[in-house]
Amino acid sequence: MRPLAPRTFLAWSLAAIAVSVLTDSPVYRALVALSALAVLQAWLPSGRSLRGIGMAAAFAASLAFAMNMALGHTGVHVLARLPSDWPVVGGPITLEAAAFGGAVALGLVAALLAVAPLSLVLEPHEIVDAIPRQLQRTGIAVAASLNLVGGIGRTFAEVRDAQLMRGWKPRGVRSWNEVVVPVVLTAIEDSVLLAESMEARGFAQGPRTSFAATRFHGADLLVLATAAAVVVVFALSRPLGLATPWYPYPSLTMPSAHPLLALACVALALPALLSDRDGEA
Amino acid sequence: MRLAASILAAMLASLGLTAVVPATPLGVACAGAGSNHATVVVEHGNGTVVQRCVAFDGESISGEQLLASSGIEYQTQTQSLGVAICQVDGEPAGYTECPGRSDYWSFWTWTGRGPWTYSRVGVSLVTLHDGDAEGFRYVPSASPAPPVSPDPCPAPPAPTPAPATPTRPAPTPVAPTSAAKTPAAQPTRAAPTDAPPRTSATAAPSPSVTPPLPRESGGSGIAAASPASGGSAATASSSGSDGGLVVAGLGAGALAALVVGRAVRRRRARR
Repeated sequence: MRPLAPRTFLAWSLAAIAVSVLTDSPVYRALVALSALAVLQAWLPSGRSLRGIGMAAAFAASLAFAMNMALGHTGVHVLARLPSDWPVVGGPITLEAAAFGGAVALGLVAALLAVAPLSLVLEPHEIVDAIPRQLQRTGIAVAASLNLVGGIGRTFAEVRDAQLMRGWKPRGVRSWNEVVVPVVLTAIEDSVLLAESMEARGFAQGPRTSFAATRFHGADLLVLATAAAVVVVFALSRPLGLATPWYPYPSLTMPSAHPLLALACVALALPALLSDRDGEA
Repeated sequence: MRLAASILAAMLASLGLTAVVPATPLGVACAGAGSNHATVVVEHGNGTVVQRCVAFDGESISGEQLLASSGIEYQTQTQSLGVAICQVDGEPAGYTECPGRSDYWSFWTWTGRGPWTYSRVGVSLVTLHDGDAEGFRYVPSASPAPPVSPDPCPAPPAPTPAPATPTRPAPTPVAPTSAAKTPAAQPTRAAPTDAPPRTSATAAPSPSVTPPLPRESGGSGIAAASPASGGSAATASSSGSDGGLVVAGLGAGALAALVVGRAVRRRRARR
């Protein structure tokens, strides 16, 4: 099975994010998250792990859940009480706030998993290929700039260690000038070198001449059509009365679900069925 | 003796008249002035219903303004979702939490057709228009249910026709044929009052506007469909939601099986 085109992944990611934003129902968000996880797992290259994205998703979800529980004091079912004189967090901890926090957490997880393929499945040059032609130079410049950020961190650590070996000790804010100034000078030097190397490789010298244009095949068209259909269905769900807004306040109620919308969320897992990477080591 | 008897008779007669003559109706009484009208329906926990019709100028009115204009006593608390209703018409007599933990004032809106809609926001964030209604029902927190259907606001009084000026026949008896006899002037009819039809305290639902709503408990907390359209609408919506949840459950199960299956296959391939 041919790999899907980078733009197909980009369109699919945008569709999944749109669905997780357009709906407030935890049922649909959970389905989007599962679909995104299935796609990510199906297309993950060998040697890469889901541990990083999993930890990031777990951290974001836990933070959202905890914040909603601590700050949302509305609801009828009280689980616990914090002293009212505690600033911000004081007051009843309610089941409704927990449910709302859970829904927010599910939305975050779904969004994270939806964009994960762009970093874990695609190579950097494929992402640049996926960007519209008018934005490709900007995308390359931004990507190169972001690469410098990690370099600045490493330079900072090296300069600090070198200064410490020379007897430098941090004494107040002004003493850090002996570390910051060399770091800034090094960063400027690195950026100049990067710009010269990019120019030497023909950046912004005209259209790209030697790269293979990606073509859409049947599987790409199928995924694109499915993603577009899913977005349209969710965009029209409220005007057509298919989606009922879910709100746990003031009393928790079971979220409703429409069969068509549930099917649309499951349909986002289509790319997972088009992968033949089972059993790869 | 006779004086006492006559006094007693007069007292009894006055009580009887009071019973016969309608008291100030508890039903819809129009408060305020304006060309548009909206209704406030309050249903207490014991089933007692109070309705007020409020007239207002302008295209719309907020829920809180409508409640304030109705003259019904209430207490609120400002929260993140708007103003929450803590007490209406003296119920509950006292409270320490708003909304209450076990029972609370559920807030509903009605747009002139269809069933009541459970409001997700406070009364201050709701906007009503001419012909709309807002309802408050004191219910257990686990089973919010809509109040009774609102009675229509009374129609404005019809313009009173100008009474015909009575003309007396000419006093001259000479020409009986020429003097046209005009009929005696009709006694001026009293202009129809604004008083709405008397409604009982339990406010039997008006048959004219909205058929009575079945009282559902639990569920999604969204107002049930009117029985005039059959309980079929309510049944359809709930069955649709159940079907959606079934599809969602099956889909989630299939996706979970797919993910787990791939993970197992990858682990075996690595070995």
